[in-house]
Order: sequence, then C-alpha cells, then structure tokens
Amino acid sequence: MSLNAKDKSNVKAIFAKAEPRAEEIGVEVLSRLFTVYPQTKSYFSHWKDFTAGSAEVRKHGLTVMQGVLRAVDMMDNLNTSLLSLSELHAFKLRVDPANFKIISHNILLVLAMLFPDDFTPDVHVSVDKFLAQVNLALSVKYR
Amino acid sequence: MVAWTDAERKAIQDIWGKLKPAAGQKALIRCLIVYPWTQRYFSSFGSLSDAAAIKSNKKVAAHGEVVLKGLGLAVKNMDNIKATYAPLSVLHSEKLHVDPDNFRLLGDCFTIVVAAHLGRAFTADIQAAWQKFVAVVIAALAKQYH
Repeated sequence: MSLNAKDKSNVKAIFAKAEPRAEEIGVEVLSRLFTVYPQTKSYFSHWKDFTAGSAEVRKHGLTVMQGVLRAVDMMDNLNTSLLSLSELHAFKLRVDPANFKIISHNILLVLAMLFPDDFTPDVHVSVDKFLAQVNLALSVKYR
Repeated sequence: MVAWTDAERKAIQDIWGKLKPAAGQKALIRCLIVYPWTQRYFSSFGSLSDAAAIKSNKKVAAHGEVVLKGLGLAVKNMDNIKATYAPLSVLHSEKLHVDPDNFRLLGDCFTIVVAAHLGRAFTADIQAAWQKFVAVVIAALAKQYH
C-alpha cells in the first residue's frame, strides 16, 4: 500500500492547513484518546492532569503533531528519518504498537471534524495510507 | 445486555436526530474508496472503477440508505440490539458471506462522517458513546457467524 503522487500531494495539502493549528489538533487527538480509550492513559501515569486545557496535554499534543508534520516533510524516506523516534518508542516508551492505530484513527477523525470540506474520501485514503506508513516506520526497531 | 448511561442514550439519540438521510450513502462511499477491497461485495453494482464512479453510482446511494435504516433499528432498540439484529447477522453470514472485519471498516467510516457533520459538537464524550454504540452494533452483526 505505497503512496502515489496524488497521495503525497493530498497529504501535504491537508497538513499544510493543519500546521498552524498543530497544538489545537494535538489536544483534540489526545483528549479523545484519553476519553474514548482510557487504557492509553496508562502510558502517562506520571501526569497530574488529563483535561484538555492542561499544560501536559497541550505540550504533548504539540509534540505529537510536530512529529507527524516532520514525517510529512520526510515522506519519501520515513524509515530512515523516523529511526530515532522508533528507538524512543521501542526501547524507552515501549508503547504497544496497537496504539498507533488508535491514535491514527483519532488524527483522521479530528482532521474530518476541523476540515470537513477538505477531508474528502480521496484525502482520507491518502492520509490513512500515510499514517499506516508512519506507524510501520515507528515500529521498525521494536524487535 | 449492554448497560447504557442516560448520557450515552441521549448522545446516540441526539446524533441520530442530526444525521442527514445521505449519511449512509456518504459512509458507504467513503468505505468503498478508503478500503477498496470492500468492493468485492458489490460486484453487481456496476462501475466502481474510481472515486468519481463510486460517488455517482445509484446502487451505492440506494444501498447507503438501506444501511442507514438498519442502523436506525439499533438506535430504536438500544436495549435489545443483539436480538434485533439476529436475522441481519444470519443474512450477512449465510447469504452475503461478508467478513465481519468489514463491519469495523464501515463503522469507522460512519464515525468519520458523523465527526465531519457535527464538527466540534462531536465532543470526546459523545465520540465515546457513539463508538461504544457502533461496537455493540458490530458485535451483534457478527454474533450469528459460525
């Protein structure tokens, strides 16, 4: 399921719109993660405040979205450019890769919510494919 | 039996009240485009060769309405979805031979359609209620498979 030229341009276009609202999107994604899939909070047992406005959620929401935006820039070379992030997730954070699918679903959902006219079925499939490749690249160092 | 809180019931009824009749069509179109292998179940529908063909296909539109009516059955029988859906489950298993994993794919597309329609009104709590409802529907549809 590789990205063709149309997929790449769809991904670049929607994330260009998303970039100025990166923190807002990240906060929405994480809020949904913690509310709809409460087991994901287990990775953040050191946090004090899981509410949407908290400093922790805002900071981490931005971190996650900045990672995604970096992946958009490095789309042609994900496995190499995400190597250190893969090592982080594999050896330090040890996030079960099943959660990558969960966060991807919520990224798609928030994009649909905030950009309903832009998130057409064609853009949806391109972003879904792209996020699947990001998830694969993040899993590279796991075992 | 599934336990629904009052808030969850209200969320589902509210969403249902706000959904346009085209929601089923939109969800099905999205499913056929985003997960093209699902087209295997619609070989009698004519051309599904590209996104434009799928979007303008009248049989897809009609079937979207059928699916939405089916979902409406679950909305109206929230305390009894498993029994309500038993005949539908048999149909999908014995006659249509649909891999139940596809129910999840269509369910996700419905969720995206609802989110796009409601925007910020689709809060995290409402999303939780909706996804719980979709999961119950999917389980009921898969129940009669053997």
